[in-house]
Amino acid sequence: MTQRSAPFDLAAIRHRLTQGGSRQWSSVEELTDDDEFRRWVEAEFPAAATILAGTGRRTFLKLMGASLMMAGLAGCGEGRSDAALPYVNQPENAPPGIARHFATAVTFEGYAQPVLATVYNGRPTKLDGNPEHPAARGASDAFMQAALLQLYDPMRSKTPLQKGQPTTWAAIESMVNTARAQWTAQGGMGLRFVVGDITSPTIIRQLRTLISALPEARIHRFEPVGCANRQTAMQLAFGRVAEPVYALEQCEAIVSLDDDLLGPGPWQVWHAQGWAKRRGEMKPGEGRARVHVAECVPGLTGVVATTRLAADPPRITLLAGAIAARLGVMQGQSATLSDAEHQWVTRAAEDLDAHRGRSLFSVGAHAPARVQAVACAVNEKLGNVGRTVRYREPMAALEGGSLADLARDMQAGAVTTVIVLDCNPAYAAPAELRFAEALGRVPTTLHAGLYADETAAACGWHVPLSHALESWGDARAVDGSATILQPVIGRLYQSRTVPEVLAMLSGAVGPDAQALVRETWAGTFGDDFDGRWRQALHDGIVQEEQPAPLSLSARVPDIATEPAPAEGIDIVFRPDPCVWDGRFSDVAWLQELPKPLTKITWDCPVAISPQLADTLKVGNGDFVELAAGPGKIAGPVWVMPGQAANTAAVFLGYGRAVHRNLSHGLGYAASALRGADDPWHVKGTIRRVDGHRSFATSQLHHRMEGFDFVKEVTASRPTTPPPKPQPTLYPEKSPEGYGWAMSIDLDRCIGCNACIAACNIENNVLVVGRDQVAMGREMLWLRVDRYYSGDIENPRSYFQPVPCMHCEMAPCEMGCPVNATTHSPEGLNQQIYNRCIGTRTCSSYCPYKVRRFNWFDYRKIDPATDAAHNPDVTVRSRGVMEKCTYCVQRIEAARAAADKENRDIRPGEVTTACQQACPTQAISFGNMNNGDEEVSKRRRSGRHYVLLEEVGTRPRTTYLARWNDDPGGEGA
Amino acid sequence: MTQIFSSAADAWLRLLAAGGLALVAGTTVAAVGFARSDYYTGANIHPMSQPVPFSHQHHVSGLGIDCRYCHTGVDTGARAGLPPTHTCMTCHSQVWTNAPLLAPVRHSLAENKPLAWRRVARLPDYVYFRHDIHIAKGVGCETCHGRIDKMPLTAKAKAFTMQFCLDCHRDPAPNLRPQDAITTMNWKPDAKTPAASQLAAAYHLRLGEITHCTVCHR
Amino acid sequence: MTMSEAPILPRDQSLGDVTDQLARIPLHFPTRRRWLIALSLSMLLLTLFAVSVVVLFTRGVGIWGLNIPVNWAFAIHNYVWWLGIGHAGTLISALLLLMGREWRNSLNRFAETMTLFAVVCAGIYPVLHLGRPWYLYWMFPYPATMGVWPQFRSPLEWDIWAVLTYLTVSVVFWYVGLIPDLGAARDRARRRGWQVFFGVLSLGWRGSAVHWLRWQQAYRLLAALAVPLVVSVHSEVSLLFAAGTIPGWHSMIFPAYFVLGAAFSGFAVVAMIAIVIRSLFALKNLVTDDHLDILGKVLLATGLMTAYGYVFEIFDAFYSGEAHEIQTVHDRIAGAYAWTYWGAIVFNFVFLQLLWWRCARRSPLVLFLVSTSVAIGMWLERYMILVTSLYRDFLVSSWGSYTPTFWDWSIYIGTFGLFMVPFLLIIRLFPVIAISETKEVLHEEQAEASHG
Repeated sequence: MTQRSAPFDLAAIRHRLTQGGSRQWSSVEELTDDDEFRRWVEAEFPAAATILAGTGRRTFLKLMGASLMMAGLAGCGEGRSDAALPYVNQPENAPPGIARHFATAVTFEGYAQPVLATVYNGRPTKLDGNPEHPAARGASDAFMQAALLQLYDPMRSKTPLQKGQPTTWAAIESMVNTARAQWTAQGGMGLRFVVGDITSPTIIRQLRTLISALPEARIHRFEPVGCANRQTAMQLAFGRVAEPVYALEQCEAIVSLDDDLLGPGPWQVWHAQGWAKRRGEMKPGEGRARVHVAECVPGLTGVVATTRLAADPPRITLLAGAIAARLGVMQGQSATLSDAEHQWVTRAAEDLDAHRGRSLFSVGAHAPARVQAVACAVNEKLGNVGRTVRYREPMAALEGGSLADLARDMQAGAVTTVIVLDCNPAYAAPAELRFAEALGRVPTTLHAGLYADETAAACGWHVPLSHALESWGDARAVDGSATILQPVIGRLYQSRTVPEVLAMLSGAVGPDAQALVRETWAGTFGDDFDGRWRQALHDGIVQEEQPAPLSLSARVPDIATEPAPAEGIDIVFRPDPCVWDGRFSDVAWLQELPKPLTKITWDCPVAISPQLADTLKVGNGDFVELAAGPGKIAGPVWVMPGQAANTAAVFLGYGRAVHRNLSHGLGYAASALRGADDPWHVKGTIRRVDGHRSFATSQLHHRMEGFDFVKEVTASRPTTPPPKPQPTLYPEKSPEGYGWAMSIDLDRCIGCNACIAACNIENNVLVVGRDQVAMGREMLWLRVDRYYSGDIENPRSYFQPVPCMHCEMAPCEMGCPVNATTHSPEGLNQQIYNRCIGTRTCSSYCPYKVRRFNWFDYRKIDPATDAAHNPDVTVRSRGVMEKCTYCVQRIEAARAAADKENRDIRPGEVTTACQQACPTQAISFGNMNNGDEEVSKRRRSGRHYVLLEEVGTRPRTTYLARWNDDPGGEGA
Repeated sequence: MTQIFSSAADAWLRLLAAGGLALVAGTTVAAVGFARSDYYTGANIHPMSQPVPFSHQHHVSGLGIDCRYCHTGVDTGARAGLPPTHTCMTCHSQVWTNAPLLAPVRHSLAENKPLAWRRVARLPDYVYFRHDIHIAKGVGCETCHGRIDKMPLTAKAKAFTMQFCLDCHRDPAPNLRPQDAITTMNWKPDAKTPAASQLAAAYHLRLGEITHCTVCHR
Repeated sequence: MTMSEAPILPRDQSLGDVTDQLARIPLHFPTRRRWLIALSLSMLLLTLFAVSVVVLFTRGVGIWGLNIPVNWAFAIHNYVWWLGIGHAGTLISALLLLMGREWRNSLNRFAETMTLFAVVCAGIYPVLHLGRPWYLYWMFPYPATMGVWPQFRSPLEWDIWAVLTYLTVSVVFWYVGLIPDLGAARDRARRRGWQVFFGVLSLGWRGSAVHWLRWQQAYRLLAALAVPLVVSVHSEVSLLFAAGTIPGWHSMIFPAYFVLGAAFSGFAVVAMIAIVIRSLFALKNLVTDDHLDILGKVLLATGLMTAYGYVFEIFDAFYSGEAHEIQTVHDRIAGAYAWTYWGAIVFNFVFLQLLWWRCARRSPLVLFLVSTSVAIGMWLERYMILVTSLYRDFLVSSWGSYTPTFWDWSIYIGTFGLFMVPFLLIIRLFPVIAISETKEVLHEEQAEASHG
């Protein structure tokens, strides 16, 4: 930052941010149009400025060499301002440099992800799941963690645009005023809204009022992934919309047909916590936590499944029919099932039957609606409804037409105004709708979004939306409870929230976001408004009684019982596990997060089955062309072990057309193939085409090569082999004081990446860019290794998180010539960046290869992370080694607190970032010298084992063997 | 055969050899010394110019104001904190209201712009120092900041080298004082002060454990 | 014992002739043109080196092909290679001196010179490969204001000392050996400049009996110092690897293995230089075919000992039964870098077998080619030891690969400039063969002849 101006502004901001220091941050709103603040922000992101001027951040990453040259030169000095700036008026409760926490939420597909935001001097630096909230219980997923970096993303839209040229809010307002006159004249005829899934009571209220005022106006809902297909299915089953909510903690047997319950998405944390609870209670003999999965594309649920079957989409329908038939929901039928399928169906049906009321039959939201409807009937028959599954009014309650209707009307010229709220149909809509083109025919088009994206480019007008962390708002979490969003930082740009934009549309002048939200809740809170409002803000959840679950009875639709004539291959569409439908594709750091199963970063493959690869004679990275109807896409292949034989999976979120977007030029746009009526599956053809692209993966080798890094226990062999005695010449350490240790339960790990995400943000782990990852230089302190065993058509998959082992006999420590890595009396393997001279001996000697090296000066590559840095952790410069520290900054903070009170650190007082984030509590951390702590109990467990015990390093990080409840398929 | 060198050449050669060795040794000693010099560490050198010539001497020994009156947060958080302009004005709205020396302070309040002091006691970015724990464990202000009450203009009293920190972290006892004497200047243990060892025990110092790296570096 | 068997130098030459012949080389340089060409080429390489180093220091070690797991490669293995070459010089001049093997007297001068600059090339690599080379001085135990010391358990720490000690002793040993010849050159110098130059360097050498006595004492004393260093230094270097738990490194045989390998490669390079110099300066009468014959035998011997190391490594792995060790052996023989392993075998040991035949040993051409192949073979061996152990160590998940970049190569090739430039200058300025010591041999032989 420029030393002249920035510190001055910074102080001014601190002052403003905390003036009066009121709990609700009302004062923050004053910042909205504070030039000083914006100047400070600009000063804070010099790199951002460069990039904006330049040709886009991805090019920037590609041109890293040059930038690193400069950074390297600058990297040597400790150049800092020596200015010290006190407040002018110091607020009572905001001493500088002390973290404060605020409960709020970020939204994902409309659902609230309840968070607790850590804020230093008015700048949020970390998000964690709100521990008070039933839908989070302190846990988080990668998207929740990354929301913070999206807040600071320099690519965010900063000013309103007219035809791509910067304009003012005043101009927008005058445009709206003229337009509104016309709407009111025609009762809203030709006025259309496009919205995603919305759970926000305020936004729903506002839209409904608008519609009632302008009866001819229409709302169209478009969520590229979303729950639209699910609701169609419910219509079919119950004749009305409904939203199923699963209670996996109740399920002794789960049968999932292509439903990745534990996979990424708004429901991940909710499902993972339920499943893990059940899994944790399971002991050999007592009860079951069986999961039977049949899926066409390998998902996280398939990895933890008891039995897994690879099935092409058409087979899914048959399997559903077969199970329904066996359970007497449908007439017995003779679907032509293969032996494997038959065997699987038998076991699945038996388990469901054996655990009536304690089981769940779920079908993926992207399966045909009829098949999902059958599942409703089966669950009803099994008596699961109300116990493992309940139905409720959909959270995204807004009734509206489809995008296809809108496209048709637009083509017909029946539309005069389109207002797109916080979604990106121009990019994500199925190509056959030719949406962007149709949009061109509409006289007035307005897009409100976080980014100036494809839709913004296709619209006449664009207004920037505020990030959830800058906004007053509200939203409902998956469990149905509402959270009130409060800003934890002043708005960085001239942005407004969706409620403010809607208020502007309805003619309000200078709408106040907070007032709009308060208005919504006035009814609910009643007399004691201020009290309950304050309470809701404090807790991050609104206390209100939930509506009773709907009692519905399902009709059984008839579904195909014979296989459809197989022509061509099945092309299925899946959201990308890291950038979802593209809404996160500009967060550099999610791009660099290895995708759970492929470990690919910065790219988007076409996943095909080994069989298909064999017939096409292609390997990883070879290009194939997929064609369905008019649509064609070409992309590099990833041979996905365990994928259904005749299936090719295509992922959303890449092939962005926005020049500055990080994923511009990466991957392909899946929308080219997507159909409007069935957006999840098409029949098509595949052929090999010229071209090869080598992926940047964080793991090159995927088989365990006969080693047992991941150990398994079974009912017959319920314990791991006892540890061998390890002689040493060094004196044995006496177990006194604190002995920090970590235990990772491989039976609970679902490979969701939440731990990596949390670790990266907590410890200022830097983005290095695609080229560097390709060279094997990714910076992850905590990696999740993924192994396969068995045949490639349907292998057994394993996840294994590997942080630093903090060995008691650490090979790295004796290698360092300058004592930059040493052992603390409490068993921490300390890495001292400022002492490191970069001989890299420690890493050479490390048997686990968990150390990471700053080959260049990576500090300026991703400007987004600058502002998000954790002030308690050094940002590593060029030429130093780094690695997992067990979040020592948290240990030391707890110690300082404890020492001031002359007490010991309490059990559970220190949690590592990964442990905190993990939705399944696979990770436990604590003082192993205290026998009562969870980590000590785990170390005594029969499933306990040490990675690479034979090397004699005596790690403090140890593992619990995975529980294989179906060894060799004979059942346990 | 003709002489190539004069008879003195031999002496010169020896002199050169000796001189060379002396130079090498000298440079080494000089470098080691320089790293400890006040010039390099910035200790005890004349105070740097500040927007307001604030005198700790006057306010501390003259008026007897306690350190914590201005440096709030010193015993609650990592940072001692510089007093906000408001704090200065609590008195100076009454006394020296028109003193030209204090003009910057008045402007700061009027224009709502902070006073841009220059940092005197500064540690490198990679040192995570906490004031509160040091105070809680009985380390007095004077121990690191010196006789602040004797400073008309504030200067750095100690060379904040790692050695300086380690000396105390390795053997803290001699630098401990009772809680009531934390801010006392020129404090000397008297008859009823407990012995250093007793203090260390009373403060529950984890002797030998406060020298490992991550106590200060993360 | 003296050369009572076959004389190694032709006796039909007078002592005076020898002095003239050798002292004339710097004074009236024979092959000026070829020398100039060689020097300018070397200068080019040196420039390449300089440029590469500047780029390296400004941008960081990331310009090399390194990664995790392979975070040591060219820098370290070239360091080991150069240092190994250096050792032969010391072995020849010091060890053989103490053992009274006078035939070394014709070779020791340029052997020592070679040692000198090989060690310089080696010594510069540990600096280049640091992530933050500007903090190199933290490796020295000086009284730092940080109050912390280097870690003396670390092999790298010993490394610094080993190399520096070795360099110092080599320089002194080389210089002391040079003094009498500098005296001789001074006396034969006619131009004032040369007289002063040699005059100063010869430290007033008059060749009196006392001088000779002192000189002998000093020279043998230094030799006695240098010999154990050869062993200790390269044993220490081997600990860089053996001290780690990595399969393929963590082995007791490493010290012996490395020292022998060093001698092997070193003798090869000595032989190469000997052959070139004797043809360049027409010294067949002093560096005779017998010399080549002996060098060939030594080469063969050390080569076979090194080969034993290879055999034992494999035996070791299977004898231990350690899955990871066996995995590594397999990776070396059949893995992605098998070419380094088989390359090392072929270049080191296959061509070497020629030296069983006397005619081959005495043929300069054959010996030169074999020596070259050994130099290459040993380079491949160092590469193999580093990369094949690191690229697949324990956890399958972190298996990686390594490809040297342009900058890896440029710096390595640059070091040839760093070696050749000073070497060429030295042979330009000083007698390439120890005059006095050669004369000593000749004298003894002639004495025997006359008495015999």
